[in-house]
Amino acid sequence: MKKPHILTLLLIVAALTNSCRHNSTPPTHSAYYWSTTWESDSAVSAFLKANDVRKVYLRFFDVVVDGSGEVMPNATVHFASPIPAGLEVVPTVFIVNNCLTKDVSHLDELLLRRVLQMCETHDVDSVKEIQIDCDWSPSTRKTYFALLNRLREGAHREGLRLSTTIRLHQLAESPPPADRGVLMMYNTGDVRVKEKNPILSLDDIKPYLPHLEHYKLPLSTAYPAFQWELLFRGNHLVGIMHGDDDLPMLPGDTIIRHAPGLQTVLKAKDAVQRLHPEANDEVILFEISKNNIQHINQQHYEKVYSH
Amino acid sequence: MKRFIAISIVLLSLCTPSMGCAWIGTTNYYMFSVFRREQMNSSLFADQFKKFWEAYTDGEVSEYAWHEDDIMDIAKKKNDLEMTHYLEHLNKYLEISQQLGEHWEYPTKEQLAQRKTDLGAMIAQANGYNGKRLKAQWELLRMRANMVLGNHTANITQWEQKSSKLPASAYREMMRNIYAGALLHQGRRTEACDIYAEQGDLVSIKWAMRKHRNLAGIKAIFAESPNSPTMNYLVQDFVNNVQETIDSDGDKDWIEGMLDQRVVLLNEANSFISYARKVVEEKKTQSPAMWMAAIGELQYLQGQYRDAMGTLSMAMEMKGTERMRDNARTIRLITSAKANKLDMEYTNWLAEEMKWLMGKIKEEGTVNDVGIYSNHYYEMLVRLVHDNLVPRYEAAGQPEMAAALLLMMESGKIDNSEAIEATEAPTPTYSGEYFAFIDKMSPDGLIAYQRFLKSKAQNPFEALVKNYIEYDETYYNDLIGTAFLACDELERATSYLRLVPLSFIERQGICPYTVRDFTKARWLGKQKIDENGENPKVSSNPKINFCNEVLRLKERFANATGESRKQLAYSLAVRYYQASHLGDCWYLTQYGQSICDTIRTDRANFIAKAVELLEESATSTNHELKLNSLYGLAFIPLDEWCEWDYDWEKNRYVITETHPESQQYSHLWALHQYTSRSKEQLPFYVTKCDVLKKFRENL
Repeated sequence: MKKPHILTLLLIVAALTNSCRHNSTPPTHSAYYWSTTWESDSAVSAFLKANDVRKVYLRFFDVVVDGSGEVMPNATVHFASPIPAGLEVVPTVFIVNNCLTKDVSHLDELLLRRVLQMCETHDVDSVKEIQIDCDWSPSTRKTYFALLNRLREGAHREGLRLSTTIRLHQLAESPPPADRGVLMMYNTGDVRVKEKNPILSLDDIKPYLPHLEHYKLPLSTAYPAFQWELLFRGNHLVGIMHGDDDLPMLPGDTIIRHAPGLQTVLKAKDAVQRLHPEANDEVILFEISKNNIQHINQQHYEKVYSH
Repeated sequence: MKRFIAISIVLLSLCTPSMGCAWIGTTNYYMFSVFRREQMNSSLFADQFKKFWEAYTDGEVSEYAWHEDDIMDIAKKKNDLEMTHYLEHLNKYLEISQQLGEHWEYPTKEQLAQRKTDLGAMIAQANGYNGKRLKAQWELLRMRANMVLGNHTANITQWEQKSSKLPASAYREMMRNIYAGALLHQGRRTEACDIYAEQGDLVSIKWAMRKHRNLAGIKAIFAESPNSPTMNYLVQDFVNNVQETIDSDGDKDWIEGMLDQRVVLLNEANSFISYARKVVEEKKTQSPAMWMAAIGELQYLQGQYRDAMGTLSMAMEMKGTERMRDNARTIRLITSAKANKLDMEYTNWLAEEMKWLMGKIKEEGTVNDVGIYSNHYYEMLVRLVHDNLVPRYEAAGQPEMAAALLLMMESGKIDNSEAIEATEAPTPTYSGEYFAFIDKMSPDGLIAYQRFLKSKAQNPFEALVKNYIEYDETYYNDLIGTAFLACDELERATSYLRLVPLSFIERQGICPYTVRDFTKARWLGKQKIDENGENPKVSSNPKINFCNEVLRLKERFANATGESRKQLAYSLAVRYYQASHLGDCWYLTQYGQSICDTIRTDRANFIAKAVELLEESATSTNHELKLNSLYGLAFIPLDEWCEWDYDWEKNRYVITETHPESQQYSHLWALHQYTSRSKEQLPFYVTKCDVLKKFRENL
């Protein structure tokens, strides 16, 4: 038997130290903000303060294929308030999957330059990382990974890290080339199925958990803190109601309210803790724009963060 | 023979069996129209602004866009300080509004601050303007600036207290449009849409009502305001969506992704019918004609033609705008072609209704912003003729009337869209739906059709259609002669072709190809021509030459024996193959060539004839005749001897599979055997033949 190499010993020590930290260090509290207007009014400010949220993943814009087939930014966030001092912002960009079927050879440069300009224009100066969200598929994976590679290089040149969202079904694939990932523990089901909670169901996540244990990308986890009101006509989903009279209704229509059960979220969090404990070092809630904060019980947030 | 490989591959990969290449345009236009459809795309008040700038610049400039500098120069030349001052701010506003869209370049902090300052300055200047001449312009600029700054309440106040009292003008209407937008921001959707509807701003209605484009939305808006002008948009949109769903077989990606329409399922369409009946019965609507026409069209779309006729007749008598009643009448006319037998009583009625429709086409005009032709009633005529009447007449065994209807549509006399200022006789047409239709006719069918066109109309409907048709005797003689030639009925072909003057051939699209010689074997080389040059002068009709020569050869062949018969067989094979769709002289049997061409079952199979004749000549003892015959047989792509695929590694086509059972394989085998054993000197086209080389490599 060979003598243990000095580096191996160091790694073991580091792993033990790390493992101890999981039991003692409280997790970082973070949240997503996914609205078209950033409005740090009293409700949002109070939430950030009450829950000691130091980091917000703020959706800056989407990238879509426009009517003329060009890959363009869309639904850019409007900064109606300044970013509170001391709050770290992770600019987040959602890329619609079909963009990856177009020429995206310069998208990394365009995207990075726009994000940096938005930060400069709106005094978002506490940025250490940018995040890309994309529901990529096996057919677009190659293009997406190449884009991330270029983007990571560009981000590193600017002294930034690159993270990407990881959907549960993507756990089975090789990890994308990013510095870290955020596991999306929400939107696990099919929104068109009336009977099941599409926001989070343990049955839905179960098949993917085995891939979590050995997933080769540093992870944080985002848990749901939002609700949906879905309008059904018979068994057909008409749409998501964003307000009381958002969609016209007919007699016999039903509105189904889906919210993630607290116990379900906590069980999911336990599962992550068992399989990939460092993924709970940072707990992120999705999401905290004004509408959601008003609808979710404060206790829910507290328990998800502190459990 | 290298080209032979490439062409064979193209033929294999692109052709579909028995399909000719005929471009067929859209014919299933939306039938329901209670407002002019171009309102969905046009810019508001463009004409009025155009007139203003034309007047100001003495006709020098009409469009403001792209001519800002020209107009500024004119204002400066006029020393019109009031105008130049206003234009400076207007140009600044237009620059800002341009920047407001989503772009990859994001504004800097300074640019945003400057934008805000500029907009503030505009508002201040507008507040300080005390003149009269540009009062409306400055008020509009103030509202625009407030709109960009998100000051919607200020805009509501300005309109209600001041701007609405200004004299009527395009500027005031623009302010009202901005006011509607401010109402929309405050959740007053129906009020906003009523303004949009009155202004004909369907683009804004479509956006504001994007979640109401369904029966639930229609019910909700009707409950709020049964006579809201928005109802016209919602009902029209709903009915046309049902049509699109049925026409496109419910293809959601196409309908919603490409067309920006909505899929409407049948049960929702039927619920709409029940609801619309209730609306008409309750008499809360001032437009029962529109609702009833909607029911009628949905019945038509579901194949309930008799019910639809009754419903639409009732709609025509009901209250509503004139366009709503015309809408019912147009849909009834289209329905009638499915609901009636093509007897005298119906066609007499049809003639009168078609005359009415022709009148509506003229009345509707060809107005549009961007030069794209759009005339609802013309589109309805297209739908009536192409989708309803032509199939009916064809099914009823009256292809002559079906063809005449298609010819009427291509005459250019109905819509005037294809009017040609002809100083000389136009080039005969051999494309389009009409030609595709008559090209399918047998030679005797064409003779009957020619007789029909020349004869006096038998009823008012036929008279109406013939009134739009110009008859060209030569065109049909050439067509009939060519069809007989393609059927190998060469004497009958000649009897028609000799009536065709050479000047007619010189105007045909096939003329440049007529220099090709049908006596040269295709397999020994392709005859190139200058396709872009001027049409050559023709000294004799090549089709007649072909007929005479082949008739002469056939007669000699029938009586010949031995080697001379084999020589004649080869000569005939050369000519038949050249006249086939694969030959260089395809112009003898058709009017255009495409890689989609196939052997037509309604014409003689010249390729099969050539093969049969070559098989006979290949038995010759004459080395050259035998070799050429075997080479010809191997060349003809009857059924491919192998499969080809592109190898990306080797960067060339490679053989992936051979088919030893194919005729071409056996012909290549025969050529290989003969050339391997032959002691004679072989010509270069055999020694250099890459196909033969490939064949040998794959043995």
